[in-house]
Amino acid sequence: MATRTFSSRRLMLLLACTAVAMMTIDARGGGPFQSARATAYGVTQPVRSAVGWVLSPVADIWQGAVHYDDLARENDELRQRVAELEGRVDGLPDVQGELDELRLATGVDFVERYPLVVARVSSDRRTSVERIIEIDRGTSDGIFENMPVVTGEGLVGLVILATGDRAQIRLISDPRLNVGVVSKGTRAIGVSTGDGDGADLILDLEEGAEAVVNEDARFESSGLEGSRYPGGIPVGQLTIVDGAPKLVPFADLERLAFVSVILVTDSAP
Amino acid sequence: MIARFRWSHIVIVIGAVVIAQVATFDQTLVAGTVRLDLPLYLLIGVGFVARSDEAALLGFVVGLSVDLFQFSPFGLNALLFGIVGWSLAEARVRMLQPGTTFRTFQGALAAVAVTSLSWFAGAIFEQDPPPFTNRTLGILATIGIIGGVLVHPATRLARWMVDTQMTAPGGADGSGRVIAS
Repeated sequence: MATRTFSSRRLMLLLACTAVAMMTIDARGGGPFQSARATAYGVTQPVRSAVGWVLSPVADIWQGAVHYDDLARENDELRQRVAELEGRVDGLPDVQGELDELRLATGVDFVERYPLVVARVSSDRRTSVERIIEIDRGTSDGIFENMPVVTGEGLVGLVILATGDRAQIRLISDPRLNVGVVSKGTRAIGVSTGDGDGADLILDLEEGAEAVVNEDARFESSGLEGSRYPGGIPVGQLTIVDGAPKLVPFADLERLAFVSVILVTDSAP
Repeated sequence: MIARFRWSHIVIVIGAVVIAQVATFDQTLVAGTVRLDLPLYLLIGVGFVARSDEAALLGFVVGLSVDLFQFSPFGLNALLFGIVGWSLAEARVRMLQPGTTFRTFQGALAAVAVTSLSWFAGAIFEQDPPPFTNRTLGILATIGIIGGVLVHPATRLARWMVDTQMTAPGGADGSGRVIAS
């Protein structure tokens, strides 16, 4: 018994050391694990799509069971909305208006130097440690790692993994993502860092900048040398919470349906 | 240690569970906060069936498979799952062999404990755990009920992956006897 227990503990220790070594290697960036992830995402993509489609009724039933009250309320609101729309349908000129709205949502007028690729959000996953957005465009569309992702409202995040026809996005709300920002009016410089899903961004302003920046100031990417983001992308609006400067992201990160990837050529291999 | 592993079964089960998790259950949250974590439920089943060294190794493998589809440091889930599998199996061999009701209770308790642990792991990456309110208690109760129910199919799957009838050196629980199935 004692031998087995020792052996079991020794194995656990060995596995723990191996895991810590892998985390250390991964933290240095790139390396074999990023390639392994790319392969795993690429190889399983058709299976994941098929499984997602097959299991979607299960997910719907699950959502219905745990959100019954919300669904009932939404149902009432939708009935009311349908009634309103039915009243207006005669006056609807054509579908061009809706198309224009979609163009506005994905239309990005603040980056002119680089081409854009519009993509649909195909998956929005939450794990215990992060939120991962997947889009239905990848390397075959010219998308590569470290390319910025935006909507017409502002910065959304960064491509962290791209395969043939899919790419994974890390949102600006992720604590591992920093963005160099500048105030539109006063040109005060700072760095925004994610503070977790659903939370405002932490803003670290350069020394003395707090005195010159107005509350409600609008910040955009600074585009300084070495930055992954071109200058001029709207990031967020300043707000002071408990004396600490924060940025409320312009892009609605909770409701992402379409995004645009800026094909920054420096990111392409 | 690996003599009782049925590798083809292990590949099928872990592959199916991880793919289902990534394709569907990561996008389906309980009360908008907590996800149904199939790999962890599978691991609880493994912990109730396998020896501690087997559970640690299988947990490590399950964790590595999860790590492939996440962008947290590669190995974090392997470490977490390895420790959980090892701990569950170690705890089990110190108990009397339970009946169905007791196993259900164990599964519920393990699910709640492991979910809380995963919130803790999330907190390392500044992902705020849900605020501790009555709603959180409701969420944990739901997780516990699901864990209590899923522990039985998870245990069956685990037995399909590990040949518990085979007496490995030292016995199934290290005491020279085979754990009752």
